[in-house]
Amino acid sequence: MAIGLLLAGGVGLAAGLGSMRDWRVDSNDASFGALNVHDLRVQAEQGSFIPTGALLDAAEAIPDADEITAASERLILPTQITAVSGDGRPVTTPGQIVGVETGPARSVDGVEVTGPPVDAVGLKSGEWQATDRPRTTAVLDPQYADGNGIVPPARVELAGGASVEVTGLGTSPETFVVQGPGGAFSGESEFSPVFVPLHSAQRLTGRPDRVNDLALVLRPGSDHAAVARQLEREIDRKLPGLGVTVTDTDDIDGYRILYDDAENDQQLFDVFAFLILAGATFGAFNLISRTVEAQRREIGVGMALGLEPRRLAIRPMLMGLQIAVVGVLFGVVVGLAVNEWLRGLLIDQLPLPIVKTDLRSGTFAQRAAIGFLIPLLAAAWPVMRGVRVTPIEAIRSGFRSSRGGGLAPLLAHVPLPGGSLAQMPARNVVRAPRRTALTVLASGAVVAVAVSMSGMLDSFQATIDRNTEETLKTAPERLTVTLDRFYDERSPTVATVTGSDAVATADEKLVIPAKLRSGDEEIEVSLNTLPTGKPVWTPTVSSGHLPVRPDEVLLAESAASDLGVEAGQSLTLVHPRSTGPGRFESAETEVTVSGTHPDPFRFPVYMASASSSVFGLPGVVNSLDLVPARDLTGDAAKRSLAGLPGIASVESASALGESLEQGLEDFASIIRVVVAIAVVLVLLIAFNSTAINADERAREHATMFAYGLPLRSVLRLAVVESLIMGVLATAIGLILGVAILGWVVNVNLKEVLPELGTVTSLSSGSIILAALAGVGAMALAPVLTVRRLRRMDVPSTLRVVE
Amino acid sequence: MESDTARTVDPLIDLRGAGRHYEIGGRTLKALDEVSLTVSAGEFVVILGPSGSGKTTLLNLIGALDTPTVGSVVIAGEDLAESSRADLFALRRHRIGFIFQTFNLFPGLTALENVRFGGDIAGRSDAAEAAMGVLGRVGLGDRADHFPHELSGGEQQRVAIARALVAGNPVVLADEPTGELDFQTGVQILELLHEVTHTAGTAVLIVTHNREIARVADRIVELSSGRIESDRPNEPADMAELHW
Repeated sequence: MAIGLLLAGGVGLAAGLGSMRDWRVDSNDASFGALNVHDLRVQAEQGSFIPTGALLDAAEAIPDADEITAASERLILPTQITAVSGDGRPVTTPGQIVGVETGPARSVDGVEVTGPPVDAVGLKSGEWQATDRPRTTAVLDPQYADGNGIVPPARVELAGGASVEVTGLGTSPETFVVQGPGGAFSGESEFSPVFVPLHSAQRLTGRPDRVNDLALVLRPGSDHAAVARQLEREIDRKLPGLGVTVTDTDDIDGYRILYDDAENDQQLFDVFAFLILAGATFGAFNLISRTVEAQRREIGVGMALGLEPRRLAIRPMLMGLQIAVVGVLFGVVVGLAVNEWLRGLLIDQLPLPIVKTDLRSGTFAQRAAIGFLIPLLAAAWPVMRGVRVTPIEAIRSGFRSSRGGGLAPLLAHVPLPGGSLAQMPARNVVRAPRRTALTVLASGAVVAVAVSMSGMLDSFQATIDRNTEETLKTAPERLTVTLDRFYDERSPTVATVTGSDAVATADEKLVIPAKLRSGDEEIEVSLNTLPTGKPVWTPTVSSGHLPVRPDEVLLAESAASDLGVEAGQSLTLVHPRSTGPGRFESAETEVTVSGTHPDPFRFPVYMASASSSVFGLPGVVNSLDLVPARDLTGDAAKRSLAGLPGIASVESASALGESLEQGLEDFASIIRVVVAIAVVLVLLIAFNSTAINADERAREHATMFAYGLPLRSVLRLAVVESLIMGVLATAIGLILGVAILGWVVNVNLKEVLPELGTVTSLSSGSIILAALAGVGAMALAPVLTVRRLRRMDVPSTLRVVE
Repeated sequence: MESDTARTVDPLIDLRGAGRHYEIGGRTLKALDEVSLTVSAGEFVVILGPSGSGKTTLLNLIGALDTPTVGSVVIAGEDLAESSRADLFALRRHRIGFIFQTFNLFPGLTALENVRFGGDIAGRSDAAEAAMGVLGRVGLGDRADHFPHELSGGEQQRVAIARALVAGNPVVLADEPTGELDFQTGVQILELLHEVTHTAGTAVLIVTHNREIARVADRIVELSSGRIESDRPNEPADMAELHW
C-alpha cells in the first residue's frame, strides 16, 4: 500500500500537472478568437495623432485591401486613475485610456462581447452601454478592480480631473496580460486600461477627432507581412512625416507571454513531474526489489520442487501488479485532486475571459500507463535475478547474512571514531550500494524539486530586491511622474509640478520607447535621459561610465549580455524622431555603450540630457523624477500631484518591483503546494525504505536485543544510517536542484520574461527546507518503526533464517 | 568486574518449577512444564531433546529473552519475574553471552569489530584490546580485518563464540552451535567451548538434538514434551571419539 501510495504521488502529480499546457492553449485560442484579436496593428509614434478615418482610408487604399475583413481605429493614451476602493481606501495608479468604437453586444462561448469589431471587449461582469453625455461609461480590468476593491457602478477620476462611470469589468486581447509602464509584468492591481467610447476618449484627452492606432483582422491565409508593407507604404504616401510601427499578433506581449508561458511552464512542470515520478520510480523499484528479494528463499524452494521459473515469477509479479493497480488508482485520484486545484487556480488567476479546463483523459491515460509499467518492471528485474540463483543457494540458511559486505570493506580502511556501534551505520549504508543509490536518488530527485521550486521564488525575490535597491538607493520616497504629452522643460505645466508644495526636488527627463540592435539581436528598451547637475537619482555604474556625449548609452548588464556588447562598443538605436508638432518618424542612430548598470530589469537605458536632440526633442520632457516634500509620504504626494494638469500618472519609482512582488504571491502558492507534496513523497520513500530495512535487518536487530542493546540504541543506529542517506540525498537534491534552477532562470525564464533579467538565487531558507525535507524526513522515518521493533519476537526472529 | 562478582553467585542458573504456557484457541499449550534446574559456574551442560521438546523455550527463559508464566527463573542472582524490561536488557549485557546456529554476525563489521561489539555493549573500556585477545584465543588473530563473507562457516562461528566470550559474562548459551558446520569444524567448536568452560569458569549451556555432541558434556539434561526426562552427570568423551 505504501509503495502504491508513493507511486500514486508521482503519477498523480505528473498526470495533474500534465494538463496545464492543453488547458492554457485551449483557453488562449478560445479567448483570443472570441474577442477577434487583431492580425495587424498600426501604431503612430508616441506623441503623433491623426484625424479620425485617415488610417482607415490608407488601409482601404492598399492593393490587398480585400484581404482586410475588419478594421477599427483607436486612441490610446496614458492616464492616471484615481478612485476610492470599496473600503474607502484611496486608489491612485497609472492607467491607459483606450478609446474604441462601440457596437452591439453579443455572446460568444458564454462571454458577453462588446466594443469594437477588432480587439473587442469581453465583459466579465456588469454592462457597457456606450453613451457619452451626460456621463461617460467605462470598463475597467477585472483584476485591477478586484485588487483595488472597485465594484461597478463606480466613479473613477482620470488625469486632468475628468471622471467616468465604470459600469462593467472586462478585458481585451491586448490587455489579457496587463502591460503597465514597466512592461509585460506589471501587477494587475497597479495598472489598468480604461475602455471608453472613442469620441469620449478624444474629448477626455483634449484630442478631438484624433486617433493614434489602427487594428485590423485579415482573411485567414493572407500574407500578413505583405499587407503590413503595403500599409506602411500607403501611410507614408497619404500621411507623410508620420512615423508608424506595424506589428502583428505575435508582437502582442500578452499573446506571446500567454502562449510561450503555457509551453515553458509545461516544460517546467514536466521537469518537476519527471523528477517526482523518477523519485517515485526509484523508490518503487528499490522497495519492490527488496520485497521480492525477501521472497528469494520461497523462490528457491519452488525451484527445488521443480517449478518452472515462469510459474515462480507469477506470485511476485502479481505483487507488482497489485502495486501497479493501487498506484494507478490512487494516482488518478491524486491527479484529479491536483487537476481540481490547478483548475481553481487557472480560473482564478488566468487573465482570460474564457478558461477551458476539460478533463484531459489522454494525458491521464499516458501518465497512468507509465505508473502501471513501473512496478511491473520493478518486480520483473529482481524476479529474473531470483530465478537465476541455484535452488541450493537460495534455500541455504544464512544465505542473506553471509552475503558480501558490498562496499563496506572500503570503509573499513576509514576508521570512524568510536567502537563497533559507531562503525555500523556508515558500513550499512555502503553494504548494499545499489539499494542505497536507489533510495538516495529517489529522495534526491524529489528534494531537487523542492530546491529548484523554492529557488525560483528566491530568484524572483532577489531580482525584485536588487531592482528596489537600485531604484531607491539614494531617494527611498522617489516618485516618477509621467506627463500626458511632451512639454517644453520651461513650460508652465512642468513648472507647476516642480513648484508644487508636495515636491522637494525634481528632475525633468525624456522617456522614449526604443529598440537596441546589435547584429541579429534586438531588444526593446525604455530610454531615459539623465538630468545634468546634481540629480535626484542616477543609476549605479557597474562598468564604464555614465553617458556624457549625446550618442552614448548606459545599458543594463543583462541587456549588454543579451546584445553581446560591452563598454566602448557600438550598436544601433531604433527610436522615434520628431518631425514636427505631433509627428514622429522612426530613425536609427549609431550609439556607443558608455557602460552598464546593475538593475536586473533589462529595459532601462540611460542617455545624457543632450541626447534629446537625437529624438528631435531638444528642451522637451515627458516625465519627472521627484522627491516628495519632507513632511509628505509618497502616497500623500501622489494624491496631491494627481490632480495637477498635465500629469498622466504618478507612481513610486519602485512600483514595478512592488507590483512584481504582489504577482509573486500567486505563483508562490503553486510552488508551496508542490514543495509540500515533495516533502510528503520524501517521507514516504524514507519510511518505506526504513520499514523494509527493518524487516531485512530483523535478525541483526534481534541479535542486538539478545546481547542486551536497548531499543533506543538500536533505533539510534537506524536513525544515523538513515541520516547519512538523508545527507547524501540532500546533497544530490541540492546539486540537481541548483542545476535545474540554473536552467529555469537562464533558459526558461530568459525566453518567457527576457526583460526581467532574473538573478539566480537560493536562500538559506530554501537550503534549510531542503535539509528538512531530505535529512529530516529520512532521519525521522526510522522512528516510525519503533512499534515494530518493540513488538519483535526476539527468540523467533533469531531462529528464523529468512 | 561485574561478571566476576556474578560468577561467585551459586548457582548461576536457578529454575524452580519454571514453565512457559501459551493459550491457543482456548487450550493451554505447555511448551515448558514446571522445570527445575540449577547450573553452576564452570559447568558444561548439554540440553538434549527432539524438536518440540521445549529446549529452545528453556534456553529463551535462561537467556532472559522470555519470562516464565509459572515458577521462577533466577540468573546470577536476579529473579526475572521481578525484573523490568531495562533490567532484562542489562542482565543480558552483563551476565549472558549468546551463540547462534546461524552465527548472526553483522555483515558490515570485520571479525574484530564483530567481537568488539560484545565488549562494547557490555561496557568494557578495553573492548578493542580484549576483542583482539579473544580472537587470538579462538585462532583467528590473523583474520581480524576480514568480513564475515570472507570467512568460512567454522571461522564465522568462532568469531561468534569470541563475541559471546569477550564480555566475560558468566553464562554462555549456545543454540545448536554446530548445526551449520561440518563435522571437523563442529568438533573444533566444541573443543573451544569446552576449553572456555574450564579455563574461565563460565557456565556453558548447549542446546542440541545431536546426541553425539552430548557425549562431551559434564552434564546432560534431556527434555521431552516440555519436561525434564533426565538430568545426569556425564564423563566427557574424548573429542577424537566423536562422529556424526
